[in-house]
Amino acid sequence: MTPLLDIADLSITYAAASGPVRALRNVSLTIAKGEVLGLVGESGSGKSTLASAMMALLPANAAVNGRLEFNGADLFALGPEARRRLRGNGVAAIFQDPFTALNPATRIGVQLIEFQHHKTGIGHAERSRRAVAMLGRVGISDPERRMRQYPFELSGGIRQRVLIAAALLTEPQLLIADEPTTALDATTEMQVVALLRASRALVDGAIVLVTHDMRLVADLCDRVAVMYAGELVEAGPTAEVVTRPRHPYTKALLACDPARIAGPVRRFPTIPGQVPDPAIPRDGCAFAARCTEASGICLTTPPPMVRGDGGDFARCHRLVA
Amino acid sequence: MVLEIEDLVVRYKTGGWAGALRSKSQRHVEVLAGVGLELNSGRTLGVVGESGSGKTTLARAVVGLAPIAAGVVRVDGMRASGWGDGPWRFIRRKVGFMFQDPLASLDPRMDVATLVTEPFVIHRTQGIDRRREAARLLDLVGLPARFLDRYPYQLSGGQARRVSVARALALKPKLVIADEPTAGLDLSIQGDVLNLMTDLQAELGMSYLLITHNLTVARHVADEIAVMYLGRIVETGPTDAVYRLPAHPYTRALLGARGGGERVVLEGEPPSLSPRPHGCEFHARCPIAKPRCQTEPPAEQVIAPRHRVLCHFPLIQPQAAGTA
Repeated sequence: MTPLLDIADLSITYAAASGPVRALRNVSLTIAKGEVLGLVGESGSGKSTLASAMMALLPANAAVNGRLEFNGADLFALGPEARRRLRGNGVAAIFQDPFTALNPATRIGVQLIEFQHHKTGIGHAERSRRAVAMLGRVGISDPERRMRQYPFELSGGIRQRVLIAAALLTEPQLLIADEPTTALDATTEMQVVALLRASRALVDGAIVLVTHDMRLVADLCDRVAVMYAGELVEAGPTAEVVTRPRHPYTKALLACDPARIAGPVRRFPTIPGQVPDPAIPRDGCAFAARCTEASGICLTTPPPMVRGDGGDFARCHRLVA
Repeated sequence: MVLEIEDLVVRYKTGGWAGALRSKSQRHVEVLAGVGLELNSGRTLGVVGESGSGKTTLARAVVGLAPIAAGVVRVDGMRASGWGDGPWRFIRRKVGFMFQDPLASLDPRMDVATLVTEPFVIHRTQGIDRRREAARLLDLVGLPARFLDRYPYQLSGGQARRVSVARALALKPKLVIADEPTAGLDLSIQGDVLNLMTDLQAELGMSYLLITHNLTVARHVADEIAVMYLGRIVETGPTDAVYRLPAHPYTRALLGARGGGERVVLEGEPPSLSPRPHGCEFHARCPIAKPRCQTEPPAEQVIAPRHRVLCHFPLIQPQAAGTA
C-alpha cells in the first residue's frame, strides 16, 4: 500500500543575507493512513520546517531538494492553485496559539462556514448545519449560541476546540497539530488531549503531532520521529522509542524530562553545549559535540541509518555492530 | 521569616461606564481573596495554579505592584500594606524579581552590563563600579564577560534567563520571586536554569517564591507548595506530602493532569470572578461536591502539621484537632 505521505531525502535550505541556512537535512519518513505520528525536537530542530513542508507552506526563500509525495503526488511539483486546493481539502492544521488563529472581527459561525468553501455541492444552510454538528462533536456545549459569538468571548480551551472543529470540517486526509496544547492550562490541556485522542476516529487519514512534549507523544502517538539540528535522528513505535531509546540524543532528551525523574531531585540532567548553527557547514554527526558516547569517527563522517526489526531506525555510529 | 503574607486582598476595578450601573460588589474583581503564606530563609515555596488563579498577581503584590485592598505583606521584618511608596521601596531592595518573559522585560536598547546594574541606579547605590559589578554578576550566573556588551536581541532564551537571574541578584536580595522562570525553554535548557537557581540558593542563601503552572518542575525544586484557585490558596503543605497525598480534589485533578496515578479530568474551566461563585468556589467543577459545598464556604482544615486544605470533604482525613 502506498503511504499517505512519503518523504525521501528531503533537504530544505533558506537563503539568508548571511548565507544559506540548512534547516532540514536529508530527511526520509513515511506516514501511513490511520497513523498518529509524533514529531519531536527542541527549538531549531527543523520540526516546524518539516511540518510547513507537509502543508506546502514554505516561504519564498526556501530551496527544496528531495521528494515529498502526498497520496502519490509530488507536493513540490504542484502549481500554486493545486497547492491551495490541497490546503483546503487534503491537509489541515491546528496551531499552537488559539488566540491568534481566529479572525477576531468575525463570528465563529461565519468562519466555520468559510472553512468549508472547498466542499462542493452543499449550500450555506448545510454548511451551517455541519458546523453546528461538529462543534457538538468536539464537546462544545450550546453550539448554536457559539456560532453567533466572536472569538474574544471564548476561553482558550474553547477556542482550541473551535479550531479543531474547523480543521475536522474540511475532512482532511492529513491533520497537522503544531503544539496544540502548549498555550493551555493543565486541566484544559487534559480536555484537549482527550479530544485529540477522540479525533482519531474523525480523521480518515493520518495525524501528525508536532511537539516538544514527550508525555503528549506517549499519550497520543503510535510512532515518534525525533529531530535534532535539522536531521531525523531516530524514529520508531512510541512504546519502543520511549522505553528503549537508541540514539544518544533521544536518551539525553528523555533523561532531561522532569516528569520522568522518579523521586524529587534538586539537580536536573542537562545536555551540555548548544545546538550547532545551521548556517555553518558541518561534517560528521550533528550531535557529536554534545554526545557522551562520541568517538573520532562521529566528528568526521555522517552517521549511517541503522534499521531495527520493528520499522524503527536511528542514525548513529555507535549502533553499527 | 523572610516573607509573611496575611489575608491579602487585591481588587481591580472593572472598567467602563457600565461598571457604574452595577451593584457595588460587582464593580471590582477580587483577584486575591485573602491569601496567607509564610516563607523561611533559604527555602523555596512553589505557587501553582492555572491562569487566572492569581499567581502572578500574588507575585506582584509582594513588591507592591498590585492594588492591595486589605492585608499585610512583611518582607524581612518590614511591614507594608495598601498603596504608598514608603515601605515598598525598602521591600523592593530586598526582593529580586524575575519576570515571566525575560526578553520582554529586558530593555532592548540597553546592553547587558547596563541591564544587570540598573537596580543600583534605581536604588541610588553609591560607590559602585558598575562594569566590575556587572562582570561579577555575569560570572555568578555562568555567562562569560564578553556578554557585557551584548544587547537582548543577541541572547538566546536560556541566556536571557541568566541575565534576568543576574539582575534579580544585583542587590543581594533575601527573596527572589521567579515568575515562570522556565516557560518557553527547551527541556535541556530548563534543567540548566533550574540547576543554576539551586546552586545560587546554596551559595547565597536567599529564598525563592517560585510561580509556575509546571507541576513537575515545582515538585522537584520547591520545599513547600501552595495551590491556588480563583485567588485563594486551597491547599498548602510540604511538597512531598501534597504530591503524595493531595487533600483537595482540585490538587488531585491538577496532579492527575500530569502523569502518575489515576486520571481525573475536570469538566469545564475556572468560573468567572464577578460575581464569585457561592459556597465553595470549586463546587461546580468538583467531582465529589455535595449540597453543602454549594452554599457554605469551606473553612481551613489541618491535615498534618503545615499541611492545610480549604475543603469541606478533604480526600485525606484531618487530624483529630480538626479545623484551624
